[in-house]
Amino acid sequence: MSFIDDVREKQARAKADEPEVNLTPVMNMFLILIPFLVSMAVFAHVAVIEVNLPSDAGMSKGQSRKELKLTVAVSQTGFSLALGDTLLDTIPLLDKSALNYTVLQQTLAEQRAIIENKNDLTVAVSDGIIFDKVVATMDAGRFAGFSKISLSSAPAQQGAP
Amino acid sequence: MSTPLTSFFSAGRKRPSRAIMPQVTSLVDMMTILLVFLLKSFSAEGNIMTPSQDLVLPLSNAKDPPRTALMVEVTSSAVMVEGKVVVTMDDIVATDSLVVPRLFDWLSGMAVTFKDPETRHEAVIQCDKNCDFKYLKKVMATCARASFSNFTLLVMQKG
Repeated sequence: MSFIDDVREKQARAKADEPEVNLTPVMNMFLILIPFLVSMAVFAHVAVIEVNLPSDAGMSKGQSRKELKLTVAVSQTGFSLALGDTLLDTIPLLDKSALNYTVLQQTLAEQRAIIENKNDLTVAVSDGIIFDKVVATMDAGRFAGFSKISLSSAPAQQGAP
Repeated sequence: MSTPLTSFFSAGRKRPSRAIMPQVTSLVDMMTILLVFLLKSFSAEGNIMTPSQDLVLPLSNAKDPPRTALMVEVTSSAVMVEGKVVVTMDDIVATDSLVVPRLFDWLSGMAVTFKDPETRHEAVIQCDKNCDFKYLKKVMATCARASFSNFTLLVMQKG
């Protein structure tokens, strides 16, 4: 018998002597658990965004500065930020049709640090803006720290920056 | 000296008495990974709301879980309330006013059946991500007129 055969025989004997773990109960448990969990699994998680109807447009002259809400107007030409009647900033499109959400978020955070009403934000949307962009704008507002976001329709002349 | 019979029995005794066990270690490994993944995605409360098949919800970072309320679905072809088509999108486009009369009548009828004080004025709106806001605005205005003035927009969670 060659040396290799000898080694193989020793290995086979050692393997035969190894105690084997009985995995059958574990497999049974898996076979029950996995179909149950697959049937209960939720792969697409949904969430909700609370939307408030604007109690006031935030534009009336009688309001005190403390009550004035920051308004983001979303239009085909970009974003424009206003506090009451005062236009604060405009954010043009990133390229042909992409709205610049990163700059909007930064600008909103900067404005929030200055203004007194730090919770309320009104998103005024022009006709022709798709719902996906509305949600992305509301997300930018939430990231900037605004907790109460209202949705309104932008007047035709308000959207243009 | 062995007879054919004894040699038969001895040969039988030499055969391995144990049944051949298949190698299941790799299978157990795979099952364990699968089990951990499924346990991670397991939701104890289940899915309260199932997004409609006719629309694609927008992605959002919102984390608030949905609550049971009046379900309004705005797809690219129709507006459905509680799964029933109430008005087509053509009707909404053709309506000049903010309030869509047929949808308003339907919602007013639904408002009577909603008795729960917590959710009686609440509507969950599922809207297709490519839907124009001017149509969504009409649906929201009609809902608000029919006493469903608390809106929540259903979105798909990112990540």
